[in-house]
Amino acid sequence: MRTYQGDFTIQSARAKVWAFVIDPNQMGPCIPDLLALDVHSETEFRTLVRVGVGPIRGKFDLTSSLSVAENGRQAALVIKGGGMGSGVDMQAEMTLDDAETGTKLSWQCDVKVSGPIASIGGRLIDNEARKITEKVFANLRDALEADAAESGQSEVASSGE
Amino acid sequence: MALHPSEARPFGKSITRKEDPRFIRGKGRYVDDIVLPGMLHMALLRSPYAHAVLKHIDTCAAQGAPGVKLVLTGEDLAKLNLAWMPTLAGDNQMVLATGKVLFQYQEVAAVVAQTRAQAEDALQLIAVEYDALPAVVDPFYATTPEAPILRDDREQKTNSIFHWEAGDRDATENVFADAPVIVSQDVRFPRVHPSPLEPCGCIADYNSATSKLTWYVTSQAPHAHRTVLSLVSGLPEHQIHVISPDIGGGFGNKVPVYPGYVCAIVASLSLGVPVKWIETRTENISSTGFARDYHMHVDVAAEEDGKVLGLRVKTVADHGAFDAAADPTKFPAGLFSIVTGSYNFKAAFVEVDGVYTNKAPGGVAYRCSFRVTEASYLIERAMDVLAQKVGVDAAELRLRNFIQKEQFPYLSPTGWTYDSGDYATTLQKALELIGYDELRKEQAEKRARGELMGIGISTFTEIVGAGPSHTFDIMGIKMFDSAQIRVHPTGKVIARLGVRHQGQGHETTFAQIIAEELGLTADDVLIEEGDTDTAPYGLGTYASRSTPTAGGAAALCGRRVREKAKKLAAHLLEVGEDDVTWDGEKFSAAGLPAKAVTMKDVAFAAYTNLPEGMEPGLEATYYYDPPNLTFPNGAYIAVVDIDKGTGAVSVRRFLAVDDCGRVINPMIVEGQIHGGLTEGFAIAFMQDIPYDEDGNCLAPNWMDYLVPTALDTPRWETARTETPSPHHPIGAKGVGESPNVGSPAAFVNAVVDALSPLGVTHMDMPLSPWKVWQVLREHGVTE
Amino acid sequence: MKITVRVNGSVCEQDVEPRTLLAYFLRETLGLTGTHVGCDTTNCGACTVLLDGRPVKSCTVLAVQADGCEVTTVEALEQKSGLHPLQQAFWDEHGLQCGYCTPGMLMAASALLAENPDPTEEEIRFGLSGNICRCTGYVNIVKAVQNAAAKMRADEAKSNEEVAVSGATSE
Repeated sequence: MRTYQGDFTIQSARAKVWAFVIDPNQMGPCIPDLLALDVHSETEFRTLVRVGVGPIRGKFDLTSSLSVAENGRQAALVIKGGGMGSGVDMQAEMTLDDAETGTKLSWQCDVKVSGPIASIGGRLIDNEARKITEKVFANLRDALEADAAESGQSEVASSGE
Repeated sequence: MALHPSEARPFGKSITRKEDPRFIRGKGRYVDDIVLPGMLHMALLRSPYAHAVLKHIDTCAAQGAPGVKLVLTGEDLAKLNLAWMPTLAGDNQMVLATGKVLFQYQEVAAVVAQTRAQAEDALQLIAVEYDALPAVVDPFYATTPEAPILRDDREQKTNSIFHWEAGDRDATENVFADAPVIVSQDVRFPRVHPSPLEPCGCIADYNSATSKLTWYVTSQAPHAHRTVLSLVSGLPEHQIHVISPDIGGGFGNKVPVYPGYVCAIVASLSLGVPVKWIETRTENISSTGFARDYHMHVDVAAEEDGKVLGLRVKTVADHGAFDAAADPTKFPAGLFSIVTGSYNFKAAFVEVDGVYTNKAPGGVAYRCSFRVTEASYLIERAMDVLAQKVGVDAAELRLRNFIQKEQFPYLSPTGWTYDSGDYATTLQKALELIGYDELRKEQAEKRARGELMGIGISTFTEIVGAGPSHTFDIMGIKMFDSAQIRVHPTGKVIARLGVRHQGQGHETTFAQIIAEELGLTADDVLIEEGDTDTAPYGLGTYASRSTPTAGGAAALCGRRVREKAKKLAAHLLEVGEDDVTWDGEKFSAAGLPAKAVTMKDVAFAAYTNLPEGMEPGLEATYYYDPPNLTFPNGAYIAVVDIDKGTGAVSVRRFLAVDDCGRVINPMIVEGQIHGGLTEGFAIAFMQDIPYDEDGNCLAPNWMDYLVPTALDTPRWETARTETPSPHHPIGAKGVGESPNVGSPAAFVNAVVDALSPLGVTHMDMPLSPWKVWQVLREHGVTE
Repeated sequence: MKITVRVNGSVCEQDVEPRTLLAYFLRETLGLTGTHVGCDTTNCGACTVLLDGRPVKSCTVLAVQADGCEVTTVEALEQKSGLHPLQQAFWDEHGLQCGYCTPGMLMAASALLAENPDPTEEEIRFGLSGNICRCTGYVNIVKAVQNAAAKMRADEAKSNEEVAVSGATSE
């Protein structure tokens, strides 16, 4: 298992950020290389994503389920699935806190990969998983930023992991 | 250059191999070369998880995929009572998973389609829902109360498979209590894999019209496999025809029965057409019989001058998810109790605990007679640890402790009766040939200059050739072996044996044995093995047992034929049987050497000119149950130089002096030694199959599991001493595995010797440049 | 896809799936089973054949890449006049045990000797380092290649001499 984490601040009200992160229709597209998004309910969605680790390339079929730990503040996302004979289990947690300039989003993600991707792509997988995970949150920030820019706010502070 | 097989009196001569003409032309016939009419192809879906609940399998999409004829899951097999199968070690193993998966790459479903590509495509369409469980990777953690129980199918709710002991605990404790010197060391023999060049595979061909199943399979033990298959499937044994065609190397990997075999058979039974399954390299390494993975602890009690007194060994054996070793029934840790080696211990006590983990199943004997490799490595390493402790030269320490020539037959403290040996002579020969004293001088000079040169010695004793049948069986089948000789009217012979070669050269060496007994040439004798419809029953080729068992059978069978031939000769020579003498090439009348007949004359007479009342024909069958095992041994010396900057070890010289008793074909024996040394070298320096904490196999292919090339491989030097086995019909002992058994310790001892000025007393294999470099850095030798 | 390949001197026109590897094309479509497959990762070289005279691992070449090319496999080594010197030397020097690597070794060695008729031991080991043998420890394989190289050089010298002699008489 590998754990990745980070935090950044969005110049946007916490309620607005919250509304975004718990909406599968908005969160789904934040997943990089998304091929298909199928929202089943307010908390369940299925995604088909393109992945490539080393010599292995293909599609992952992932089922995500969102749960709220503390309304308006803390949510968890459990992602399960796989493809190409490999499996992925992710458990992400997001916490929103009021910050001076907007909302601070802290995230942590435990990633467990199994199958040929883990064994053959062993050396490459750490970077790849980190890249994908970071990309999810970067996309999220970008989406909220764009949203914020549209509403006339432009300054965004962010810090990596 | 070697002689031609037409050589007379071929025993003991290097003659070229009779099997080679087909191989050098690309005309070998390996399983994957066989194509049958209407044949379908099978591929297996494997688990990505090391440990998970198998919640649901949806095969609908796969069943409708192009070319697909059948999809099998564990549930389908359960209906046939075939979801589980027995292993040769008396455990049970899942064929296709039901309920849970227990190791990464475990077999979960099978797809049979018109082409292999279609079958592989359809695998992608099977949707499996897993619930991952925590994986047990560390064998020491496995037996703690916190560890989850992996095998809930067993009555005993524990991850412990067996506890096994040999020797005398109390006597050993007493020896230790008074010993002036005790050394201790933890030693790991890594998880390695035989990795023959040809992966495993089979074609199952069930003919519903005749109810006969023909099974072409990469099998080192076709007869045993037929019996097991009959017992498991309920098919009558005579309706199962096992054909083990040319085999591209086995090294123990092709002894077990694998789930893919069973699936192919079930598929052929249900579809009524031939079904071929050929595994990939990844499947081979990640799911079929691995070897070793022994975590050993050794204590040696000794006098201050290094004379050994007692030996205590405690081992944890990681078998993975199923105990799929192929050890004789009464020996769950094989012949590991040979661990007292070539030394005169007063007392010894050995314990082995087998445990389950979420790793590939196995524990097979890789070019090894049932755990003798682990044992030899441990004792040879321990002797060097002791030598370092008491400050005695490694060669001198061994000479002080050897079992002496006069002590044979020697009863070891763990109960083995060694047949013969002359260890001191063999080591002396090795020391002289390599120039040991000069090398030690050179080493001293180099050390003075800060250079790292090491000399490593291993003086191992092997134990090979199981039977005898009163002690050894596999699943109840006694471990004898057999030969059948038919001499045809023109004096040409077809001989069939119960073993199955995979490169060892039986078609040549067994022809030499029989030709020698019958006064013919190897060219006159055709050896056939691997066909259960024609060959007499035998337990197969592994554990260096072919020559000790089937080789004995061949010689005694030849003598049995000769007995009848002698009667025929008496008839032809018109003398009484007592007046007939045999000189190795012909029968003659006593005192009248000119009056002689050859085996060819006699053979013709057996069909054309019989004495009254004699049964026609000239043939015999012999089932040979050896009275004891044989104990090949050797003295190996490695000389290494270590690059201080990179940690790379260069094997400058390696000398192997082997004593394998009488030698049938020196060229073939030398070839076996070259090959075994190369595998031992790979184990010492390159190979391990690590798993990460989630149970992902991190070396499931030849990019990560390294096999040496011509460039990596050192130049081997070989020599022999010859102490015949007193009980074997031709004095032979078996040799194929000695170099793999004896060499790892020589390599490691050499590296540790090179690093000993730094205070290094032990390093675990594989001794990769990275590992050696870390040690150098720790000791400030490099930055 | 339709491809035309000259295999061991005969022209083969076949329709192949684009993903078909040359090794399987040779083994399964053409029945030339002397070319073996030992790994999935281009490590072992059991599948070595000559593609326009160059040694390639046919498990890593698509059959369509061989379109318009000449492929030589182990089955073409033996001539009417007898075994190829490499085949004879592998037999004489015990350069094989299980035989599975042998076809690939022979093809790699033949390419090596075509380029370098008088290789040193080190050059032979380097030239064959893409081919794995699990049985022999390479000692006798190296010996066999040396032995074959010497034989081939001697044959070459002899035929040059014959040419020279016949040239001299015709003048």
